[in-house]
This record gives sequence, C-alpha cells and structure tokens, in this order.
Amino acid sequence: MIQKKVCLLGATGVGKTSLVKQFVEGIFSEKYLTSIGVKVDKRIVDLASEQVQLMLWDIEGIDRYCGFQPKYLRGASAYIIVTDQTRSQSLIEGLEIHHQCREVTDVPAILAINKSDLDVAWHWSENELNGYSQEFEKCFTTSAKTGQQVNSMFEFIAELLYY
Amino acid sequence: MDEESNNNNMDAKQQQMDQLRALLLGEENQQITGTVKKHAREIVGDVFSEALHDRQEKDGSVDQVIIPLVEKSVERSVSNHSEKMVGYLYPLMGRLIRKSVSAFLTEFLEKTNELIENSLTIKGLKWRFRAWQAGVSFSQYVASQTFVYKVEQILLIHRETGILLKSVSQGHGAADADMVSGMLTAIDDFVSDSFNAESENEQQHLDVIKTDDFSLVLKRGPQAVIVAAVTGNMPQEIANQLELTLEFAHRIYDKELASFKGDTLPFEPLEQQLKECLLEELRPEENKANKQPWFAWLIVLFVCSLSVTYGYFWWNQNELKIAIEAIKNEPGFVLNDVDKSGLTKVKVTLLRDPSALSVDDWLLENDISKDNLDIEEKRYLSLAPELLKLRLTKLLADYPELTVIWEDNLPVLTGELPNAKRQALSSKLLALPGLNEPLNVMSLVEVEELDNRGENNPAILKALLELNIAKVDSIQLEFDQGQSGLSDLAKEQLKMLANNFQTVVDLADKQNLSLGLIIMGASDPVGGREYNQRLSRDRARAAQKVLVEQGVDPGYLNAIGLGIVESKTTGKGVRKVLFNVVYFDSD
Repeated sequence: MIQKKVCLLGATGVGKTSLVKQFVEGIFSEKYLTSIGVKVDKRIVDLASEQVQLMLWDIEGIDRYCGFQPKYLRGASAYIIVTDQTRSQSLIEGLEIHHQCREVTDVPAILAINKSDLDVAWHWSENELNGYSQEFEKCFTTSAKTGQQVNSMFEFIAELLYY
Repeated sequence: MDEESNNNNMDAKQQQMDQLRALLLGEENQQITGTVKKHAREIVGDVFSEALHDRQEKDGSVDQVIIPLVEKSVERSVSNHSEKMVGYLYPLMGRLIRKSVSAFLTEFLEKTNELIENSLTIKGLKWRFRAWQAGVSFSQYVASQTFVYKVEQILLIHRETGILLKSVSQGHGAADADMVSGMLTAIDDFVSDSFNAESENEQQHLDVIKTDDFSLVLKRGPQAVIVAAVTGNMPQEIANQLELTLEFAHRIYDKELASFKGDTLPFEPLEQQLKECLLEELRPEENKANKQPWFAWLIVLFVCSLSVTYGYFWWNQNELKIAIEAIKNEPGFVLNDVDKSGLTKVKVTLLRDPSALSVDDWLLENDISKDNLDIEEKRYLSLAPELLKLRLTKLLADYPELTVIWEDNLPVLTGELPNAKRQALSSKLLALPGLNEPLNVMSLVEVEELDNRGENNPAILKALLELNIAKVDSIQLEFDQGQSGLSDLAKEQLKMLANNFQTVVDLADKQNLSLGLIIMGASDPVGGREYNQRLSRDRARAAQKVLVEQGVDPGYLNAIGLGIVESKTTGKGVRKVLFNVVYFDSD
C-alpha cells in the first residue's frame, strides 16, 4: 500500500488538531503536541482502484514565540496550511509559514480555510483570497465541527499524491 | 685520397649535427615541441604510473606532492557531501565497527571474568561451579545468566518520511507500527533539535529508549532506521543482528530507499531478514528449577510443622480439659476452675469431700494421666445423698447387727442393739452431716431384751413399761399431702408398734394397770377445716386398722382426728399420725 506523509501547519488555534480528529480516530494523547510539538495519526483513504494511507503529522501551532520547525516537514508528500476565517491574522501567518516551507520543499500545498460553521469575520475580499489561493494546489473551506469538506480535502490529497 | 674522403665525411656529419641542433634547440624548435605536445597525453599516459613509481623509488618526492593534495580534496568532499560520504562508507564502516565492538566486548567479558574469578561471593562460586558442571567457560555462563530477553517487534522505518517500510512482531498485541514509526521519527527529530551538540554537523539521535521492562533500540542507516522493541536484558547479539539487517536492507534496496515515494510494497521481501532479528532467549529450565526459593520453603515448612505441633498440643490439652471436667459429675467433687496453662498443662482447682473418692483414684478409674495436670484440692462437706450413703456405710461398719433400708435416699435402720450401743449410734447419727431427722432413722432399731432377773421387781417393771411406752410414743407415721393411705415404711412401723404395744400390754397386766392407745391423726392446713378434720381422722383410722390386723385388741385403740396441726417453729403443717399410750391403775 502506498503511504504518504502529510503535514498540517498553521497559526495557533486555527483548528488543525480538530481537523485531524474529525478525520481519524487517534491513539496518541494530545499531550504530545505540547511536549514535542507533533502528533502522528493515520487514516486509509479508499481511492477508485487503490488505497492510500495518509500519515498525518499534526504540528503544533506556529506563532511569533514558537518558530517554524522545518525538520518535521522532511519527507512530507504534501502539506496543508490551515487558517481560521474568523481571524484575518491567521491567513497572514499561514502565508508566512507557507513561504518558509517553500524554502525547504516544493511538494504540493493545500489551503484550508477552517471554521466555516462560524460567520466569516475576516476582512479578506473574494479577490484577495483568490489571489492567495493561486499559490496553493487547491483551497478548501472546511469545518472541523460539521465535517464540511474535511473528507473531500483529504481524499483530494490522497488522489493528488497517488496519481 | 682516403684521408680527404674521411675529412669530407666528418664535415658532413658535423653539418647534420648542426642542422639537428638548430632544429631541436634553435628558433625553429616550436615545430617539434608542438608535435610532442600534441601527443603528450598519450606519451605521458603510457608511462605515468611507472614514472611515478620510479620517482617515488628514487627520492620519495611523489608522496610529498600527492598527500597534501589528496587530503585537501577528501576534506572538501567530506564537508560538501557528508551525507553521501556516509552513504558510501556505511556498509564498510558498519562491518568495521561491529568487529571492533565485538573485540571490545570479548575483552570486556574476559576482564569481567577475571573480576568475578577473583571475587569470592557465594553467587560467583555457585556460578563457577555450575559453569564447570555444564562444561562452558565461566564468562559464557555469566552471560547466559544475565541475558534473558525477547525481541517483541522489529520496525524498519524510512528515515526521511518516518513511514514504516516493514514491521514484524512475535505474536499479537504489537503496537500500531505505522503510528509508532511516525511518532518515533518525530521524537527523534525533537531530540536532535532540542539537544543540539556543540558542532552543527553532529546531531543527537535516539539510540535506546528504556523503560522498566522494555527497551526500544534504534539503529540508524543513511536511508532507514531499524527499531527493535526488546523485553529483558538485551545482549550485544541483538545490536549486531540489527546492524547486519540494516546493512543488508541498504545494500539490496539502495535504489528503492533513495527514491522512496511512499510505496512500501518493494520492501515486503525483507520480512525474512527482519524476522531473523526476532531473537529470544529463555532461561534454561534447570536454572529455573535451581531458582527454587529453598529458604522460603524452609520457612514455610518450619511454620507448618510449628502450627501442626501447636495444633497437636492444643488438641491434647483440650481433650484433657474435657476429660477432667467430667469430675464434676462425681459425688463429693465441686469443680471450681479448669484452665490451660502453658502449652501442655491443665490447671484444675476443685473441692473434694473427704469421704469421696480420692482424685488419684478417680483419675486412675477414668484412665487419665496425671502428668500434665496441676491439681489444687480443697476440702468441703458434701450433702449429696451418695455421700451420705458412703458415710453411713462407713459408720455402720461398726454395727454389723443393723441393716439399712433406703427409702427415697432416706435410710431406715432395723435390727437390735444393746441400749448403750444404741445411744452411741444415736449420737453418731446426730453428728452425721446430711442426715435429716436422725432419730427417725433409728426408730426401728430395737433395744435388746434385758435379763428377766428383776421380773417381779415393781420398780423395774415400771421402768420397762415406761421404756416401752416411750418406744410406742416415739413412732410417727408420715403421709403424703391429702392422702390417708399408708406407705410401706408406715406399715413396717405399725408392725413394730403392734409388737411394742403388746409388750406394753403384757407389762401393764403384770402391774395391774389398764391402758389404751390414742391414735392421733393430724393434717396440714391445705384444704378446708372440715376436710382436714376428716382427713386427720381417716389417717388415724387407717393406722388403727393396720394395728387391729396385726392382732392388737381394738378395745385398746382409740383413733381420733386432730384436724389441722401446725408446727409453731417451722410454720409447716404436720401430716402425721402420732401415738400416745395412756394408763391408769385398774382400781
């Protein structure tokens, strides 16, 4: 079976862990996230002809106090930049992280605009968003609470990486 | 002529030489150097190695030129492409390191061997003996005692991605290898980031993760990491086997590892190699047997035998206690206390009537050993009927003339005694404890007939008459409540009374006295006055009837009922028939 490492990155509190939780049934405690900065989960995604096992590396929220750790990105086949549509800053931070990632890897990057169950509260216009989305392989508007687009995002990644 | 031609030749040669010199060294020499340069590579190439060899032989100057060059280029290459260099050197280095490690270990074990040889601990001596028994070297035996382990699971992880390439485990219950691989890689990254070494190129990595009962052993190759989960004490053997397997994986799957894109299928055939790392060593059975906790068993045995002994003593003591308690049923004994004393003894305090059986005799009779008994005996007087019998029997041993009739535990003596002897007996009976109404007991004891020497002496006759009247008067018949029927004893008494009265009649006749016998019935106050009047009269008449039957002339008899008669001293009613002889002068 094909296995792929996928990292989830983003500012603190955007809902990376909740996205993973929505997608998998994990075995490790979330204490790992705060102690070593990463927690690994897995989920098998069924494609039309094959199965792909995604190894999801949920990486601790990155902020100005806690620098980006490129080591965890090593060997990743793709990464997801998670942002929170209720906080404008989360997109700026997400883009910063994205640019830092680009310095070490050129694997596909996905943009997840999370918390779609809440009202949009950032000031980014449709055009601005479209502009930023260009830098990514694809953009998903997700909700870890309702599960909206979560599965389809991971399925998209699995397909992208397999074919 | 010859000389001239010779000179000409010489000149021509000289000329040719000059031409050649000009050609080689003159201004025109570029042609030749040009031609030589053109073929310089081939020319030098043909003799390069040989030339180097010759020059080195000649003055050793090649070394001096080449060594700094090589050193510099290697240095540059290593610093620029360290990862690659490690990749190249890994298979070779691995083998070298293993060799050196095993050499070190052997030396270490030998040293340990020496150390233990010199130490005179009991364990050391025991192991030495066992090793000698088993025919192996001491160091080997020590190793077998120390290294007992089991490799539970082996993971082969792609180093860059942290993705599990292949895992094998012994039995079930192995951890989710995929996620463990990821987390291990993450933790390794965490460690190498968090604890930076002084030099930037030298990174810290996990080697062993140890918990109380198992260890994770990590061996790192350039492309992959092999991890073994080991329980128990891990011997060097496992590390060696892991290194071998890792090298093998690198050698065979070099390309697959370098171009790994997440497809683990090509690594399936590694299963066999990985399984070879699932080593285990069980402690040999005989060692297990030897591990019996003899000391603990001894203690258990000791405690068991102690409790059995104690239980035996306890049981014996209990039996003895129960047996000795039966003494309380023996007449003349009062058991005050029976208590266990110490482990085997039983302490007894009791009261014993002097006329009762002695304690020793009782023990003998009941087959009880005196050994474990501690008896404290005090004297007392028992009023038990059995004791009364004993005392009376003892007393009557001096009076063979008398016989005893027992009526409801009350003795009645019959027979004849001389008056003095009778008096003595009477006082003895009075002093006898437990005997109620001692005079009644004696009531049937006759006084032996005196000689008739003074038969006609009126004073003697009178005295005899008085004596016999007293005899008759002293007789009292007892009745049950509300009854007027006579008991056997009463009938016996009446029989005797009839005889006595006949004697009285005879004596009275001799003295010309007329007499009568008043038979007085009495009763207790239970029931009405009239009833009791009638009952007392019936009792008197019943006695009268028997006397008539015994041959007493009814003319003498006068039965009267006294009705209720109460004793003023005791307050009790008198259920009796009393007799009184009255006499008068005939004239």
